[in-house]
Parts: sequence; C-alpha cells; structure tokens
Amino acid sequence: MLDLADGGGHCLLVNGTAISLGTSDPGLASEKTGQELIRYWLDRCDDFMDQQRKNLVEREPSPRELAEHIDSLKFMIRVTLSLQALVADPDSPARRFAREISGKLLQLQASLELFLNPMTDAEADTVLAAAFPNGSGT
Amino acid sequence: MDPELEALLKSYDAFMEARGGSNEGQLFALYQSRLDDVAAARRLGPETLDAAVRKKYPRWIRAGHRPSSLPPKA
Repeated sequence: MLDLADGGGHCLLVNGTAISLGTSDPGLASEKTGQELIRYWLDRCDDFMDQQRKNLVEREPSPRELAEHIDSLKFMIRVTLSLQALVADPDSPARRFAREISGKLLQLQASLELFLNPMTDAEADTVLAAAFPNGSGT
Repeated sequence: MDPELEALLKSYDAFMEARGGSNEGQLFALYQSRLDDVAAARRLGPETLDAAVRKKYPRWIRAGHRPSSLPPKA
C-alpha cells in the first residue's frame, strides 16, 4: 500500500511504515535557505573588510581603485540594509541575525565615512596636534 | 605619540577589524565613548576629533602600528 501521509507530500506510508522524503515543512526549508543566505552575506562582508584592509588601508590606493572600492562599498551597504529590513520583521525567523547584520552595517558605513572623509591630512594633523600636545605624529 | 590618541586609534582599529558581526556594535560604542571623553577633556567637537582620528587611521596603520590587544578604557 502506498499513501501520502500528510497531504503535503513530505512523507510516504509504505505498508504502514512512514518514510520521510526529506523536505518536511516548506516553511522550515525556506527558513533554512534564508538563514544560509544571511550567513553567506555576513561572510562576504568579512571577506570584503579583509580585502579593504589589505588593499586600501595598509597601502595607498590609486584614485581608480578608491573610486571602484567606494562603488562596491555602496553596493554592500545597500544589500546589507535590505537584509536588515528583512530580519527586522517581527515574524522573521531570521531575527536572531539582527545584531550581526547591524554590526556589519555599522562597519561598512564607517568604511564609507573613512574614504569619503572631507578633512585633509593637514587639517587632521592640525586638529590632533592641538588636541594632543604630547605628540600626534607616528 | 600621545597615549590617549594611540588608545583612540587602537579602539577604532579593533572596531574595524572585528569579524562575524557579534562584537562590532560593542566595539564601536567603546570607540565613541573614548572619543566623547577625549573631546570633552580637550574642549573639541566630537565630530571634528572623529574626522581627524579617521583621517589619521590609515597613515597610522601604514606606519606599522598594530594593537596587540584592545586597551582597557581609562
């Protein structure tokens, strides 16, 4: 005897024995997919920050590299903002990622401020020399 | 370098170098708190000091400064 056990097609009854088809609850499957997507994005943000550190902080980028990076940074911020809105839904099963997403967003936004900082090196040195008379140079 | 400026730069670096998402908010709050304290003590606007520290940050990194650990808040 073959019977669909729950009308959803997630389990078969074969001679009275239930056999799982592996895709139990569609809601759970989409929840898992959503959480994998968020984890993937958080990992990509970390990779992006590592590359930023290596290519734009530890060494002086060319104007073209800087412009391309700022474009990429804005894209990363847009996607992360979208994910933040998604997990802010009170019914979202991915709400547990809210803190991590906020943390990465803060870092990406700080990065953009870092590269778009209108203050010149000379102005910064003047401010720091006045604020720290015991030494502000490297 | 003035120890308070170095502590600010290390705090900012700890925030920027955090990975995984769990500690970034806390580390940014720590940097902001330090910045506010120093700005108040030096009678500076916190935004001005923040911009100056961020401008200094890449030059400080390129000069080879890496924190061994996050310094405790004074």
